[in-house]
Amino acid sequence: MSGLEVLFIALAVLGGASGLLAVTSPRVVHCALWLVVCLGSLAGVYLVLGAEVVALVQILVYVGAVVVLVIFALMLTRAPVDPSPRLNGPPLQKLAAGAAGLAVGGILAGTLIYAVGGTEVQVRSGQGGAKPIGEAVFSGWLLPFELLSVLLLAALVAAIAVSRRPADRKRDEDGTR
Amino acid sequence: MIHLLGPLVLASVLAGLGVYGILARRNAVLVLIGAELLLNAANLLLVAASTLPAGGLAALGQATGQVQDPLIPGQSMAIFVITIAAAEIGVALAIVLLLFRARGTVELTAVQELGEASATYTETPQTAKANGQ
Amino acid sequence: MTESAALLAVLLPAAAAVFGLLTKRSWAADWAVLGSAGALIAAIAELTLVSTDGPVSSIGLLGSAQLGSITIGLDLRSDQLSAVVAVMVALVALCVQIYSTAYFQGEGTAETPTRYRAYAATVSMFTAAMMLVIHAGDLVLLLIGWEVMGLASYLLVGHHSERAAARAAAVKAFLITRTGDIGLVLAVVVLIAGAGTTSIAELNRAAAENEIGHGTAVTAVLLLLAAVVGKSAQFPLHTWLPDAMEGPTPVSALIHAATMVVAGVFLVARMLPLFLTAPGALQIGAVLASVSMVGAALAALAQTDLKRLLAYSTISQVAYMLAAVCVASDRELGSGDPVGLAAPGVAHLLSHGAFKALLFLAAGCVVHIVGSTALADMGGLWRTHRSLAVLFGIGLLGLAGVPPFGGFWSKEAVLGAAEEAAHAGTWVGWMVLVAGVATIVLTGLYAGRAWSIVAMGRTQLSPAPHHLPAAMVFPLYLLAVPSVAFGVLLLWPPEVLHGLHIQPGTAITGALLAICAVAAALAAPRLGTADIATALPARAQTVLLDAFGFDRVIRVLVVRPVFWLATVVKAAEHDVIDAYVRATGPTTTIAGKLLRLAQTGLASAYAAWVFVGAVVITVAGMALV
Repeated sequence: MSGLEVLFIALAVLGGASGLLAVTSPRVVHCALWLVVCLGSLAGVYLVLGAEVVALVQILVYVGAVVVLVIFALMLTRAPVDPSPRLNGPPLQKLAAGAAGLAVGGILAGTLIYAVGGTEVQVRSGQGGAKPIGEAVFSGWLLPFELLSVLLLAALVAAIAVSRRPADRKRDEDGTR
Repeated sequence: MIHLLGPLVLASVLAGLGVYGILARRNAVLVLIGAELLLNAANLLLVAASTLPAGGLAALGQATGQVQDPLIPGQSMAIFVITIAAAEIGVALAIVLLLFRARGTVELTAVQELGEASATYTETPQTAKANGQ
Repeated sequence: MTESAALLAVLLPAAAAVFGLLTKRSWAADWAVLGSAGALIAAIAELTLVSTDGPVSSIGLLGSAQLGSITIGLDLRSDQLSAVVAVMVALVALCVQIYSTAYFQGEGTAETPTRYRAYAATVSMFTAAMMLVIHAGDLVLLLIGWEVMGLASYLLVGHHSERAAARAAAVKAFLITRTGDIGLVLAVVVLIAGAGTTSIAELNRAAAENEIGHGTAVTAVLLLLAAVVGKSAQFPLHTWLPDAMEGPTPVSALIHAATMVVAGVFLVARMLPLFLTAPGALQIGAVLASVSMVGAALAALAQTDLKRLLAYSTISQVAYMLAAVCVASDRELGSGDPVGLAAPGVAHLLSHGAFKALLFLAAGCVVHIVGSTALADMGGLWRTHRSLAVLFGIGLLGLAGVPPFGGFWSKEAVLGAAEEAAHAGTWVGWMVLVAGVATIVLTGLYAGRAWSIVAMGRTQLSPAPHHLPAAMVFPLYLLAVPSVAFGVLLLWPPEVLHGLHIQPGTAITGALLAICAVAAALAAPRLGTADIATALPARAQTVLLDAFGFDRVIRVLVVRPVFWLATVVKAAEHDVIDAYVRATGPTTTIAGKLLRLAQTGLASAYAAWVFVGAVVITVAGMALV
């Protein structure tokens, strides 16, 4: 067992466990924080797999921006800090959700292992570096990349438009800043 | 050398947890956390696949199977997915905020107006029109 | 020349039918009379030309139809048989058309319109169809004419469609003849499959040279026989004919006495070489003919309605013709000249056409005077309308077969054929001979009875002599000529009647029996009973009047099962097939109620469906792969 694999297993266990806590914790803020841990450990996994840029983007965008957004949302919606029983649905719903989760995960794992299980790959250093990724994105993936920028802009505008208060809207319509 | 088995199992676990989170949670923000886990499972699969040479599994055992795809599709896609996820969570949280402002709660059970026999939905087409004006 | 004459004989009545309907109402009578007069002239020309120039085997009419592997030639043919019958048909048609112009005078009342234009056109159409049957060179073409005749018969029987009895009779005639016609259609199919052709000449040639397989021949002949029995109103498909008397009397004279009902006999005569290859089928035909002959004569004896009496006599007389052609195989075992073998039947066909049309038209005059068809309302014609009574009497004497009238010669020819077959030692010959002789007695009895009631009897007619239009009387004289003088024809017989042999023994016996029977019936009034039928026991009268209750038998054996089947089918339709249609409504409602349960409004539930669907599709995919 190589050092990479040991590192991977450690990160994977951390990621899986924190993911579990993120969806089961009774405290809302803890959920968000466990998500941070989970996403961070995933970034580590990306590094192990040689995807340096993806790992960095993961940390920057997910851990840095998305989770902060989530925590902001929790604060704005006056989420309780204490353990709350109302975070989950009734026990029956939890049971059904567990079954569905097990089924999806099981089937996914089963098919993936059946298809590519037992394959060993050589992780080449430098293949996920900034230079090759940059060349790829700005040559072959240029059009999707530009489309994504438009999507992001649209999402930005949409988020602002949706979340404005009626009072803000009225003020805009009256033309008084 | 590294086994692909590990990333695959981790991705499956994360997907299962994401599904559980989406289905079991009542709080809209926590449902979104489940969705994030699902997206990350997909990302992990993409990155794991990017370690394969050009030509995928079929090219693995062959002599020419060590050539890297110059477009690095797996990782590029992962970056795109992260971008889209950021956009999605932005709009989704804006909607959650709107819901909180309108109802004072972010519990999904409080917004069942679109269902059959909703307890809170009492509008008829006529009253809906009247309310809209 | 012969070709043109034959074509004109077919096409002139058809044209008259079309023009009669399309042009001015007041021209309808002109077209109808002109059409049939033209057909008569054409037919006479055809007969002359055929006698001098010989038969023509193919006259182009509609070209030919290529149907898959076989070619059906839609051509006419012309020989002595067709020419002679065509003359008879055209003559009767002309008489009937002239007669009808007077019979259908005026517009009628609102309740009972005469509808003369449609009537005349239909009669013209019928004439054209009959001419087509006579001249058809191919069974398919013959079938076309055969079916058009059936249609015309249906339309004309139901001409007074405001009367329920007429409608019922029309439907009955249509259904029963159609039952027989199925045989003709199937015979065509069998012959196409087994012999590869439907050309009559080709079939006859192949049959004469034993080229048609025995199975095919027997099947085809039996099927053809079914069509013959249906069209010619023979037992057991005879019951439509008496009911068909609901039609106007001229129609009865033309279609249900002189022409259409003898088409079956004509078909047998035309295809006799084919029939001769299946003697068993001919024997069946002879049995049916014998039963019809005697049974119908007995029924005629007790009828209380003049037209029904004549109808039963028609069945009986047509049975003579059929019996004459059906004993053909027993007469000449081996060496057969089909024309000669068919000659007795054809001869009776011709003479019967004349005297039966005369009888019906005279009966129409009587009905016109009396205003009723019931025998009970008639009487004293001799005193009030002597010339009409004489004409009626000529017809009756012809029917009874009293020498020297027409019916005598042809009937003796039939009996001669039967005797020849009996001498050959076959049971069929004996059966026909016995039945024929018995029927002579019965015919004489009912002919005499009709005379004594209608012409003698009490005077019940209005004292002032009812005036008869000339157009109604003239055709009677026209028809009386062949009725009286048919025997002259036998002195110089045309080729088609060369095979007639009148045996002195049967001739003298028949003549004596006929005269005695007529005399007995005529003497009856002087012995106290005005009507010889009343001398019979009451129960026998009822049975005979009812024609042995055969209608009831049909009702039990056919009508009730069909109605029962219809009930079953209706129930199946309503309770089984419709049930599925009706079930769609409730099923949709129930399904809708069930599916509404899934619409909870809870976002988590909708998401759950998505995942469940994904899992199910994946599992299904794995199971299938």
